[in-house]
Amino acid sequence: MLGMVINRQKRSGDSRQVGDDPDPELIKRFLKGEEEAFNRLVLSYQNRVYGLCFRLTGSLDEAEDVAQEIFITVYKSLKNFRGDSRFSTWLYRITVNHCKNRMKYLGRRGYFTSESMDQPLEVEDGELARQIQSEDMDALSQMEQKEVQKLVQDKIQELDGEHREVILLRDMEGLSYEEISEILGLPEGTVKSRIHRARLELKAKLEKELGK
Amino acid sequence: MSQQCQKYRALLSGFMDRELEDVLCAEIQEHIDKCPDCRNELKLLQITVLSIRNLENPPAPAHFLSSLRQRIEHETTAPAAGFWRGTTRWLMGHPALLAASFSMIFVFAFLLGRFSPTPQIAKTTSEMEPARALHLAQPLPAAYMARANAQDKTEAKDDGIEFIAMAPPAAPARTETRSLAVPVSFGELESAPPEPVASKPLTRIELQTPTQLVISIVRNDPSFQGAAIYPIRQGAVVQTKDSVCRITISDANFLEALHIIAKERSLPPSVEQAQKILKLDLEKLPSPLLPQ
Repeated sequence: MLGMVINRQKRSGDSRQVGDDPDPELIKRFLKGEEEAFNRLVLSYQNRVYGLCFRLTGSLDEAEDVAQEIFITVYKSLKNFRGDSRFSTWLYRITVNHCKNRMKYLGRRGYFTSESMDQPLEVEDGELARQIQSEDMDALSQMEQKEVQKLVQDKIQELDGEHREVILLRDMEGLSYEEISEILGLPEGTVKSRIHRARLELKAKLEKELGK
Repeated sequence: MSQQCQKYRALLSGFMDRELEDVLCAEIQEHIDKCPDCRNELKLLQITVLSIRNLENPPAPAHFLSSLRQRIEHETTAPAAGFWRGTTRWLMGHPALLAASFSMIFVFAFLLGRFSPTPQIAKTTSEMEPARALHLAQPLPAAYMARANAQDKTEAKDDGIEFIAMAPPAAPARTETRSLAVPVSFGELESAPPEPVASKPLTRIELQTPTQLVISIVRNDPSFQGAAIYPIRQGAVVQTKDSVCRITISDANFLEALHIIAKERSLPPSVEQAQKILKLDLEKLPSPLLPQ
């Protein structure tokens, strides 16, 4: 079954099993004054946060700076974390918000020059403007890994900001619709349709690039 | 594309993610098995998703935690710096607000300057409102009055002279300009004839400061008729056609002088006499109008 080919994969650095979540204990220890517990939290999440920041901002320098700001926010606000949701969900929410703010800031400073940030490829009712056969997309597998990475990253950067964050949370971080809905503060139905539109938009951009 | 294809294609992401109900999944699967276009579409979507999933994220730099701890330490020990940095960054991101802030500061500074007393320093004391004139007049006469009253009680109970809290005269009086800006032009001398002070009742003479006293004495002296008078600290610079002299009086001598004038009920008729009686200091300066 084609639809079942793609299995959810755990991202590197996220090796914990459900029910074996050390975060609440680390948070408790940190709130009691153990700075070491906070360091452990940082070490266990820094790669995910940094990676997501890189994918959202498209810049390693910005990613490092934003990721540090995120952990500083966590450090200051952890006392307000009530534990209603998982710590990772809360952290993702902070990450997305910080990255959104940074992108707005950079956008106003004329950091982005790509025209496609403002002009996403039109996709109407799920139908692509140009039908391309899957053979074109198969070219992806024949490309050098570095080339693929760069191409996909470039195309992700060209996505509309809302699409970029939702597709990364879903397809890169492997979060559920429910978690994404909680992180973005959106109804699950909106998340579902936004993910679909984001994938169609990215697909269209990749097809356009590979079909040249 | 048929309506059925359109309907199922909108659900392909949910189908891939197993977020649909089993019945709907079965329906879509059945349709995909029959429809090559939709099967192709699903495959393209899957490749797209895989391309993201296979992205290799760069690991955080090795120094990430140590530099984070440094920043945390800095932010917690200097929260004000963090606040200003954040505010500055925020303002830099909102140029319109930044411009508005500057405009507000200028407007505020303008209004502050407009309604502050600073510009009125150039006004004469008599042009000021009574309360302000009183305020400016207070320090020396108050000290003098304490001393003068004690003596006057035995000598002259009612000498009719008031040295403090003088109300401004109804008509604009020639009084000291409080601005110390001395004109640099030494050309034309003042042509207006000086008003003889002695002809005025003493209650009208403003003698609150050494400068006022010196100017009153100079104006009372006929030999200085037509001289230009430039107020300075503790006195005045007086310029005649032939000479320029600086006439001053110390604070101690000023208090004595007030006492003497109160007793005599008149000013000395000339600067020369005032120099002897009231201990004025007179220093002649070379005239800029004469060849050196």
